[in-house]
Amino acid sequence: MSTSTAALLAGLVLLLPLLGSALCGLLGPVLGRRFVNLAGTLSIAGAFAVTLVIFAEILGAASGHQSVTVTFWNWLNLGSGSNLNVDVSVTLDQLSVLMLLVITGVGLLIHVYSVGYMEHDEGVARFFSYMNFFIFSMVLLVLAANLIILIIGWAAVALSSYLLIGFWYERTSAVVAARKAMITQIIGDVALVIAAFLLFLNVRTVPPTCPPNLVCALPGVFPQHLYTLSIPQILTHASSLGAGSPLITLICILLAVGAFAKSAQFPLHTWLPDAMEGPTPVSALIHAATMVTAGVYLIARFHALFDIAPIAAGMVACVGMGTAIMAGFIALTQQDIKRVIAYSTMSQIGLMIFAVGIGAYAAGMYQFLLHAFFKALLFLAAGNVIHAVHDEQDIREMGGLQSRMRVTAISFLVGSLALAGFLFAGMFSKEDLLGFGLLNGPGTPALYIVGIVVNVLTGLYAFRLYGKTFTGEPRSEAARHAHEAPSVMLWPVVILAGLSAVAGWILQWPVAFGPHLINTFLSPVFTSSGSGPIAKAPGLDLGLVGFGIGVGCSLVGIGFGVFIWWRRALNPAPFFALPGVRLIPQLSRHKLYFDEIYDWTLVRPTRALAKGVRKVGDPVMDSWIKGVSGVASDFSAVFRTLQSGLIRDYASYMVFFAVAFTVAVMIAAGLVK
Amino acid sequence: MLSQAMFPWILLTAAYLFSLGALGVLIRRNPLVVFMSIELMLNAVNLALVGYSSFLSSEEGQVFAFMVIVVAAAEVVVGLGLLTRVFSIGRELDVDDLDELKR
Amino acid sequence: MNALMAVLLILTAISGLGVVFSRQAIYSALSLVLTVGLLAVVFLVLNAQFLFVVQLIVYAGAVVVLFIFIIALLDPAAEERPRLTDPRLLLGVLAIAGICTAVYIAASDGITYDTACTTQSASCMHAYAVGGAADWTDFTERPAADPYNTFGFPENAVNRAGNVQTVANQLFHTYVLPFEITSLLLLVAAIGAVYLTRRTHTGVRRLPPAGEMVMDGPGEDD
Repeated sequence: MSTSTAALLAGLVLLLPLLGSALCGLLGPVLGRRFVNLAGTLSIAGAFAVTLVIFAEILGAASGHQSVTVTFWNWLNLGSGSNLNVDVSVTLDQLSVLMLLVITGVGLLIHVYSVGYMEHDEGVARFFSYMNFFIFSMVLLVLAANLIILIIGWAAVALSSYLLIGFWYERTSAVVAARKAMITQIIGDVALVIAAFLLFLNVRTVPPTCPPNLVCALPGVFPQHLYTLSIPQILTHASSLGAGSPLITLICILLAVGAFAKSAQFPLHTWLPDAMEGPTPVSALIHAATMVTAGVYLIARFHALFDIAPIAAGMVACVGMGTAIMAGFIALTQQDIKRVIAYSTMSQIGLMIFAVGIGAYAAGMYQFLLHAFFKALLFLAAGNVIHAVHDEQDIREMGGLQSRMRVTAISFLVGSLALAGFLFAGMFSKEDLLGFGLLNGPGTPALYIVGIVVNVLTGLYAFRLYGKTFTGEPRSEAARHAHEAPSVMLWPVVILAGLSAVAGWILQWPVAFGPHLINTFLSPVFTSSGSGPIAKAPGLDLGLVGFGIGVGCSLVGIGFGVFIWWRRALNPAPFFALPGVRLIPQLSRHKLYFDEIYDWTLVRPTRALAKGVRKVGDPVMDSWIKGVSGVASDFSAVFRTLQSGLIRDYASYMVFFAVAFTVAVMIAAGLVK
Repeated sequence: MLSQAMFPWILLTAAYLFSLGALGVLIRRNPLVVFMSIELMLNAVNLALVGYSSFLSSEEGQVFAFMVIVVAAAEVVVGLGLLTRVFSIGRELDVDDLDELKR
Repeated sequence: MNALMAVLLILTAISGLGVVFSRQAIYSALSLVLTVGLLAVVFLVLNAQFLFVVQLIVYAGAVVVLFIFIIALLDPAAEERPRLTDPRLLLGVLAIAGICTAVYIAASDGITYDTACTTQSASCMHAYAVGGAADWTDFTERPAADPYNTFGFPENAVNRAGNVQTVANQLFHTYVLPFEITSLLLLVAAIGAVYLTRRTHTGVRRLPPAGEMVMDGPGEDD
């Protein structure tokens, strides 16, 4: 792909959503709902079309030429040469195009869905403007080839998330949730920015040895190193940071913190459940398919760094798997349909983070792709359900919707199976990455064992959700009168269900087991830095065993879930009411008390500190300001008395200065010695 | 014939009368007396001018003194007219009372 | 002559005190007459005969008379004692001291006359000749008895023309423009005085309400 084509395509895919955002925001209120629906959706459709073209170009390009970095313009250039040089540049390679496909493709489906979902909402112009802006910022993030641009996209994504979570700004809970999300994200932003600083200062792009035909003893002849902010260059020269050194461990930890904040991993995960305050399409797009996967993308993009920082990578893997099991545990007792799915997201992303932590980048991205399908599906179907029962989100008030909302129910079932990892999408991606866990990662195969427990939990909560929502007798009036969603909200759901069902099978083709197409597609990216894939892939026999155990555990979970909540054959409630055991559901229900812990250890001390500072500082500041003004007015008060209005006073001033002047002149002229 | 030694005394007297007039402007509250002090100052200047004219054997000092007398006369006319007006509208003849310059 | 001059100067100084420190305005006016008269005599001694007469006619005969008229008209019996604690008094006394000292030092230093100067230039002062430079082409014409020939016009010039004529010569030749402007000034002053003091419709004396600023300028009708 030539640079000019790449520039054109990249420019289009960036500008179309931005244009849509501007049109919806500025002209939407004037031109009405139809215009907004059209403009908002068509811009993303256009971006998707361009993405398909990029995809085709990359597929068709010769190997080794599949990655193109385009520089649009040079934004900042401080210092001669390439000292501090910020180019607005983007990289089109397999990794970014994979992300783009999900962002624009799933994004398009969700935009279409939103047309129906926001049918009766007054702020539809604002909604589509924000959604398009989010797409733009996400595209900017994944395409960025310069650290500064990446940070800008990162921050813009956080901003869009804030705007969209707090979309119904008249609700206090929504505003509070948006603020919580923003503050948590900012912690990640700070970590990312510090990591960027460290990278800028330390990455050497010029080998420290003197080329043969240069006289290097002369100062200034041979630059000792060139600084760079360009991501491809950083990746190429990652080794200049020192493999396994404290520096690179620090940088990777900082990057990981940024990723955790964005992907809602422990300990920066508390914002995600609250973010469900936003409209359901927002949850589907941002908090399932795209924004929360930006962390995974970040680690995958900086694979060259994580490859040579095993401590940091190991930490990442542990955090990922830890979050996965924690979220799965919490999801078991949540009563809000969207919260269950949110914790499920947290858990699945934990698996992705685990995968990129152990070096199985392609496996992580594979999970990302398939997860985007079935998670968006689950959210949109949940949106249908919520719509049908008149904005009720408590699953205890639902039930019996299976017969009343057939299409949605079947789609939801497909999604649940995909999530739980049986038969459909999730089966392949999860087992793939868990397979890597057999041979890689700290404390092998400890994390694998945790992983299969996660499988059990996933099956459990997925079918608990399905069972309580769709099966049994309707538990409320609204549920009794539920009907199927309008077609504009059904088609995206159906499409996503179809994708969830077949995507795994298709991508696993042609090899029934082993490296899948995504792996093949992405491997040039992860090997381009010179270091090969770190993660050891399990061989055929070990892999099959792992696969079997994993699927088996999923089935165990699914089975229990079906029996308890669908067939209602088992009732574990008495067991969990026992004194000691009762603690377990309580911990789960209260989300392991994280919010409370954070409140007591972080929020309250900070508030108290702020109050204290104000108490001490306010009088001081006031007195300074008053002091300045007091000095000025006192000073002028002296001079004010000169304006007495009395002629005699003015005359005395004249006399005084006349005499003084005369004497002064005489002294100056040397007459008076 | 006057000797040259008198000249400083003439100048001194002129200076003395001038500053005495300034003192009068400063400490008297009756505007008429203030005016007369001003006339005293002008006379002092005239004295200095004529002294110089005589000392340097030049008429220019006397010519200028003539102008000063004319201007002083004109000024007295206008000033006393104003004072009369002030008095006729009921204000006190007291320079401290006429302090509207402050505003 | 020196003694006469000294006496005159001392008397002038004393009568100046009278102008400033008299309790009643009428006494100040009378002191002013005295001062002006004494100064006129001083002018005479200094060979300025024209000014002697002008001073007597204009100052003593017109200005001070006008003052006396106004005092009599407005407030004849006004008494006023200058307060001794007034800080302006101190300032004025200091001003007197300062100026007198300064002038005396300057005068006695001879700055006003550079004895060594023989050519006309900016750095030393020269007297311009009466009626023209031709009368003073060289300094040898000065009488040797008084090497500086001060306080005396060259006899030939004065004898030839007389003081009035020489002053008039300057007034109507070199300084004719200021002379004419001065006459215009007198005219304007006269008109101004008439205008400012004309009577308005409501009468002469009007007590203003308490506390209100009354600036009743000319031309306001009620």
